[in-house]
Amino acid sequence: MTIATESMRKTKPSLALMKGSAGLVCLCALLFCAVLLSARMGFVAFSFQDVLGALWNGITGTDGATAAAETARVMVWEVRLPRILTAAAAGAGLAVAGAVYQNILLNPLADPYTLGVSSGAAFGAAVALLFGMGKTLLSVPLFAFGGAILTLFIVIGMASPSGRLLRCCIDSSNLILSGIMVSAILSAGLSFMKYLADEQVSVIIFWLMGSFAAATWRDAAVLSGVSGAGFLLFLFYARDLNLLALGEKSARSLGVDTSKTVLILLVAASLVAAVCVAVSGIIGFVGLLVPHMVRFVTGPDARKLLPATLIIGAVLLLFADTVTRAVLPYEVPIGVLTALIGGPVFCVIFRKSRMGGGA
Amino acid sequence: MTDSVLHMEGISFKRGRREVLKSVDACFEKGVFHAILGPNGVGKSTLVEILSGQMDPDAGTTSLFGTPVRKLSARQVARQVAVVSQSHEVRFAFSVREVVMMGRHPHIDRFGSPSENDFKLADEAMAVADIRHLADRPVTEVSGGERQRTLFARALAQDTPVLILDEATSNLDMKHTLSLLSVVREKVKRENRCVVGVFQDINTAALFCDRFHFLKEGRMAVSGSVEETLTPETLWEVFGVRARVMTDEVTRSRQVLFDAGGFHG
Repeated sequence: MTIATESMRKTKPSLALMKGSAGLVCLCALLFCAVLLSARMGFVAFSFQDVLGALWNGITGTDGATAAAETARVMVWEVRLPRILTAAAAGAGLAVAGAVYQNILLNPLADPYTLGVSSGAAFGAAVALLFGMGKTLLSVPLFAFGGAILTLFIVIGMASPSGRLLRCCIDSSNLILSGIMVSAILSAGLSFMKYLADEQVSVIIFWLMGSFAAATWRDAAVLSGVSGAGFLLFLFYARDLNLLALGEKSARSLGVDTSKTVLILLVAASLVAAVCVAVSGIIGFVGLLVPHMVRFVTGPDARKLLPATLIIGAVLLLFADTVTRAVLPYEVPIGVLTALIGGPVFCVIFRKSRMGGGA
Repeated sequence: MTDSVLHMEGISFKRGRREVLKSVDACFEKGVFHAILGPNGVGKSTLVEILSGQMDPDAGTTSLFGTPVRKLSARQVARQVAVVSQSHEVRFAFSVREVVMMGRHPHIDRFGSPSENDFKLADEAMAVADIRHLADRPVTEVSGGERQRTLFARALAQDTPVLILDEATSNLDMKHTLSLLSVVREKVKRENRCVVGVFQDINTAALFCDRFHFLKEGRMAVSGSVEETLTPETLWEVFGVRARVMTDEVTRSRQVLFDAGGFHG
């Protein structure tokens, strides 16, 4: 009996580590294949060879050897790849931010929308667009972040009993309720802005529905940078996230400085969500569904959940964007597509978790 | 006084307008199993939450080994004080073993991984709490009592000089209550630890504890050894019940017998 447990104890962590790294390698390979496949597909379809050649030319900065290869380079490197990478980075960022919100709010069905953060970001970005600042560098992301953070603090302020932001216990159901209230007010504000903006209205509406059609290398770089940095920060706090998932008091008794940790994580997750919203418009359900689905496989341990969520989120949003870009006869806004697919899936999961008593 | 581990001085706490605690003084020594008793809503749970540094009082100071708790980081406190609170619903499907291992969190560096000793302590704690057969089950699927034992095991795995039990056995069956409290009592006597428990059941407390602290209306009403404090007069004053107190000849512990109609008013 004791011998059996001894050996189990010795092999178990290393085995888990091996399985974990193998899984991670598989997921990265999956993401790479998805990028290649997506770069092939489109108005003009290329062979894998053309795509790889175009990637090589793009990376080395050389022109294609033949006219056809040069066309492939321009199409793949300058048009498709920025969009592919932006979509993947947005998917990754939204999914990871969703996972963090879910752990902190103790609610497997929470995401950037529940806190009103996305509405806040959208409102900020719409203000920037309304005043014709859409063209200037970074003004939309900055306004979106401002809107998101402002909303976050209003929501937390409303939810905390004493109105203090720090050193207090925030009840998670209060947080969600205030999130819903604030986001209802912001939606009304958005509608009012659409009403005001006669000429800019189509810009705002199209952006609100979400699209990667105009994505540039700059968008891809900003989004990957922010999503990647956020992911590393969340991974740094992964064990604290696990403890927070069992409740704030219990986490505190196990040595987590809860108010500080929760604040840092909420602000960082909101930053990631806001930049995603600023670049691509409102894309719902990614932050909610991806961590939820990944949790079925990896379990709730954030050290496994976060990396898997990052990559699955990237693959799924890339997949959705490729479908609207290359498969459907007309380009459907990506936000509409994710809502059309994600909404019903969400309803099924919601029903199941209500019936089963737990997620 | 020299053996004082936890010391409270002039602790007051308000919840909204209601004064929950009114200038409470208390001293908890090592090698002693303390019981905090009192009617519902008298501030017992608030007192232990302040004691464990989970909440700051409105006035007064709590010191842990002579240092004010508010000057210590959450991690420093967690290395000294473990808490078993009443189990609540868990929404995420961590396995029982994962939850117990979380007790080792304050002792493991951020980038470190659990050592052989960490696994050993978690294993021992699970054996004591009789949950080894549940180790790989999701904590969302075990019963309320089993989840309570999981939280108990987590606190034992935390392996701290101070242990706080906030009605930690109130939803456990008799066998597990007796076995867990025996282990805790052994730790108090053999390893000179300090344990403070909030109890609803006076007789369970009398079986295991050395000192009783009765709270009444937010004040410390009576404090002292079980023999001194567990009297019909105290029970009448604090709880408003008429009861007989006798000494059990086998265990030599004080036990209370209640009368069905013996409540006040």
